[in-house]
Amino acid sequence: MPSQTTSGPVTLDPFDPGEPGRMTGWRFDFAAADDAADQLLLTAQSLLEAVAVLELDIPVVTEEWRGRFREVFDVEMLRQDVSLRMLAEALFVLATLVRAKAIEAAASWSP
Amino acid sequence: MTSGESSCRPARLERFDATVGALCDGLGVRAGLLEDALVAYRSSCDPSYRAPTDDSDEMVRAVAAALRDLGQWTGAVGAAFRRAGQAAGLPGWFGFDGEMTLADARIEDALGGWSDPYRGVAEGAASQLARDLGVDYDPDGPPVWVDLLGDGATVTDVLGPLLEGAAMGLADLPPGVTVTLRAESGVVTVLADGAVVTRLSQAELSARVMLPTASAPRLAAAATWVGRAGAALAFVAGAGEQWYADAGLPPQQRVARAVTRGGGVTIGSGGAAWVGVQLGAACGPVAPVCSTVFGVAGAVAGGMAGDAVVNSFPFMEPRPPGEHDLDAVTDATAAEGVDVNARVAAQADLQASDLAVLATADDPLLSDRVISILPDDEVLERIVAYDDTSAPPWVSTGTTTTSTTAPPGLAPVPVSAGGPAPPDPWAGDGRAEP
Repeated sequence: MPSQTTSGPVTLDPFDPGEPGRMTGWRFDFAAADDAADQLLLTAQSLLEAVAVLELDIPVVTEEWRGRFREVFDVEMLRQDVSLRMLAEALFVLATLVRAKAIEAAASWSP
Repeated sequence: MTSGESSCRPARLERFDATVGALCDGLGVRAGLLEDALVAYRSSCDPSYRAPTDDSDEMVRAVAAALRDLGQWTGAVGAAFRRAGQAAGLPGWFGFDGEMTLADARIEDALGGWSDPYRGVAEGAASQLARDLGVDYDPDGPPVWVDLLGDGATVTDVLGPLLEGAAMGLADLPPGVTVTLRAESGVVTVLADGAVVTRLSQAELSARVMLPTASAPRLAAAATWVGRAGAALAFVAGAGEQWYADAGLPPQQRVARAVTRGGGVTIGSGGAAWVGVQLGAACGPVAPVCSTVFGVAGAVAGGMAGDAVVNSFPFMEPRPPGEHDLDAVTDATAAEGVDVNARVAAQADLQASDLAVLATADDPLLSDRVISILPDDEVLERIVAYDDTSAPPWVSTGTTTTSTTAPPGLAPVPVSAGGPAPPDPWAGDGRAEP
């Protein structure tokens, strides 16, 4: 069984790979999983921060903007706004999956 | 202004291009940081316990590229107005913030480098979109959907009309055909004038909404990613919107907070507006970031201090409307060296706990183990329900309070940035020891 420390990456290798009569080993670096989830959440946050900045600027840009080009901007910007929000949602969901899988890995590890 | 004419304040369009560019630069940096973390994750965690995160960073880059393209088009329209105005003898110097009215044909001529100056958007599309969204189209006001989304509408609420447009694009249908979508089990049936035209996956349509101008291979890659991201993405109004609300950052408040001096933004009256002005002064052009980094109370105090400083120097001119510190905007979206918002992390932990319980429900032994190592949901719920304006002293934003992924016995120790340590959601009695 690997030694456990709270500093640095933690890798579990509960079964020795290839050992006769035992199932194939698996590895799980909890620090890496934690960092992946954090980076997914941070990216989702950044996307929504971008949405907030855009929604701040849009009324400024569109003030006195009329005509055919403005219409294009309205339609296209809605698409961008929704895309950024959708992507943020997806990354949030992925982060929860990463964490759920890590919980499952921790629970599956039977010393 | 008559038919066939357009008007705008060209400088604002050009400044918007610069701001969008800075945002996208930041998102590019963020995508790189995400990629590094996901590469490490995929190389060090067994596939059976790994979420499918492939191409996530590429999707961030692709969406940022699409946004940058629209920003550049907007800037180009502004520059075209300015050039055409100069040619017509109007005051069109760079930075001129006045309104300008010109014939569309003049602007089209000055808009070199864009094969389609109208980006494939049909005339009348905005008013049609507004009708589909159930709102009135006002070409003289801000885009109607800004208010719609600001008033709490979800992505799902506005997705329908966009999906319809995407379906028409994928099915190669001409404008004017009446399209109906029928979604069943991840497949969307496209009916045109009552007849089935084609069947598309929800992921394909979502990819088309997100990357309308992408090449076919990139669309296919995006559709694969969207599919992997899960059904939770496209047609469920769940996690993200809930998170948005639970993070205590309703859109209207976020926009109000983001007001910058001289920004020319109309914000609501009352407390939110006052808070917005204060925070705007405190945080400058990237005030939304402040909202996630600092508590409201501290930021308001900072805002007052910022006002005092600004008011002391009469030579300090207010920024022109829509002008930001671009480096600050980039840094804000890059979010390098920033901690996850504690409430967002707690919300993710709560949902991860539910998912883990659900995923192991058919294995009683494993399920018991999962339940024994879950973080304390009451503590997580307290963090999620935490109210910025009455922040209890034991929660300090930017701390690592909710990491769930350490194995039993390796739970992270909460770190407090000064002050008392926050509660440890992992400190439940039932934790299994290895």
